Amino acid sequence: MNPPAAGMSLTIPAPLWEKVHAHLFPGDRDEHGAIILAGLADGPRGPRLLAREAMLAVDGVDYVPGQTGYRALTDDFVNRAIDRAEAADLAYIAVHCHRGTTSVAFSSPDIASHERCYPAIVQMTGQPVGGLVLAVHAADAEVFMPDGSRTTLAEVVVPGANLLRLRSEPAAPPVGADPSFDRQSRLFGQAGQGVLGQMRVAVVGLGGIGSILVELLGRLGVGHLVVIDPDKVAPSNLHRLPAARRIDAMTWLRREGAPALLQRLGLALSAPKTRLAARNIRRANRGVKVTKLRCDVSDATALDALKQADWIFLAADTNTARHAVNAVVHQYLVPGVQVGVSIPVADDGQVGQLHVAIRPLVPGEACQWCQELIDPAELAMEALPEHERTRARYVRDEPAPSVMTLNTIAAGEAATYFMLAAVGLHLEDVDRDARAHFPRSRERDRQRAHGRANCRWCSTDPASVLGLGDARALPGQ
Amino acid sequence: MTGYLPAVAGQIEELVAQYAAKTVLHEPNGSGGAYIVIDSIDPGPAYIQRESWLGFVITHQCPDADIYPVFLSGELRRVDGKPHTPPFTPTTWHDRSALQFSLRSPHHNPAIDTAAIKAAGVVACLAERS
Ligand SMILES: [Zn+2]
Ligand SMILES: [Zn+2]
Repeated sequence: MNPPAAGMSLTIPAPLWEKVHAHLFPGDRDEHGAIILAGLADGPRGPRLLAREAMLAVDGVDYVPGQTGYRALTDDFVNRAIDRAEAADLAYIAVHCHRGTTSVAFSSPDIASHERCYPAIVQMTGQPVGGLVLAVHAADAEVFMPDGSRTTLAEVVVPGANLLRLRSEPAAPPVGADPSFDRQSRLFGQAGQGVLGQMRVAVVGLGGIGSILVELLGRLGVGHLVVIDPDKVAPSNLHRLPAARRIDAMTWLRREGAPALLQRLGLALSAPKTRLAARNIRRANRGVKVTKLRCDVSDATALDALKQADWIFLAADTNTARHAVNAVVHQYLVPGVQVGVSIPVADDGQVGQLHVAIRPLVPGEACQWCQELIDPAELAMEALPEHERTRARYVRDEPAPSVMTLNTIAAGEAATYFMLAAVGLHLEDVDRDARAHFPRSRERDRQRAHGRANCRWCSTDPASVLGLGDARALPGQ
Repeated sequence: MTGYLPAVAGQIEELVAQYAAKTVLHEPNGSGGAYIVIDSIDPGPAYIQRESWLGFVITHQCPDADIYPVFLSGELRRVDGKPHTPPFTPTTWHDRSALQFSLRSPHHNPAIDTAAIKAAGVVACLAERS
């Protein structure tokens, strides 16, 4: 597998990739064509083109024998794509395929045709215009920018069950290995260890699950962790935060029955959860870069950090957090995984079905809204100032039960899902559905979800924000 | 309309147009959303009073969030003389005595459901009570 590459990239949502790939490689070893329309965003290693929709050229109708090259898109097909790109402010990327497997390059007629056509299309659309050539496991592309510059694409990224990264040629194997990772590198190789070391991963929510996640990610050797949580450590958290100390929660000041002044002082002196997370990550692995964001995930600073991430772990259980992360996943095509534990205990003490959920966040697939995981009324309540919210909730909120062993199932499986995706070790035909564990019955379910046809996040409906990147504001901004 | 996110400003305009014959007070809530008070609506046959104000927040999560909860005048008294019961709960809202109406729109669709539609839905719901 290839590590993330510096420079301009093109991210293609997995469902769109599968559609385009099936069209280009039907098994006839012939050449086929399509046009991808894409949004644009700033990324951690350079500008990112974000594929949103594709027009597949029908052989013999839209894709015909060319005058200079082997095949060419018809003027009519190209003009329809230009109209769409212009109307929706999208980049235009013509795609065709070559034979070959792990390396690919444009032919000289390809390059001549780019130089002949693309500057004019840039003029018409005011957006980036490029060509992409694919082999089965390789991609090469060049893009003409509105400022007149011309860039070779560093990589094509497909965030599916495996985080596919295609280049024109496979990356050179890494030199020199860190012996401290020897045993885990025996699973995914030094190349895999190198991929993890290049990744920027955000963890939203540093409670029972998030605090275990950061420990695992630090020890895996993820290069850069962005940890986001507005809260401070409380005495009631200590038993389920790894390596938390009593002093982190100022327990002797915040004990029940202590005077209000001491309680306030104790809160002021307690450690932010981001500080505890950073301490644990550094203890696990001194090489990790840590960015601490002690704010709500819906704050502009946190959203800006999420847009720049390669992966997001959603381990906060508010509707606000799910909504904010969901928007980034689909608008910016950033993959991730959501984790949650539900422990229903009735007022009479009856324990219901314990439930640990691990839900892949796949750009362009059934989103958190489509899965009914965000409650619009609760989202409204969470947006109220605290005193208004407290008054409006006439049923008093009891703290939810939380048990570390259950949190560990969630964190362990989510981090493993991430690891296998990042190093490309998920089996090729593995599904991307959610999984639910029911520890009391020792069962495990696969939960299929379907995206709504007109969803404003995950669908390709004209009104959706899928892949639009920086062209739209994120929720609340 | 300054102090509002574009989506919020659009919904206020729609409210003002829908209630052209009434007064629609709006005030920025500091995070891009709005406090809204409509003077006055018909609280329906369940109450002695024939008029009430209707207040709510269009939050900065507009249009994805529901408009929830909404508030009516705290002076409303039931015609049957009984105390208020959930989803109606006496409270205060912006220093006014208020009756909170916790009416969820579980099938909230951000493409269709605006504050104006919610307000009309609240009034329709009140009219059907007895
Ligand atoms: Zn070619
Ligand atoms: Zn959706």
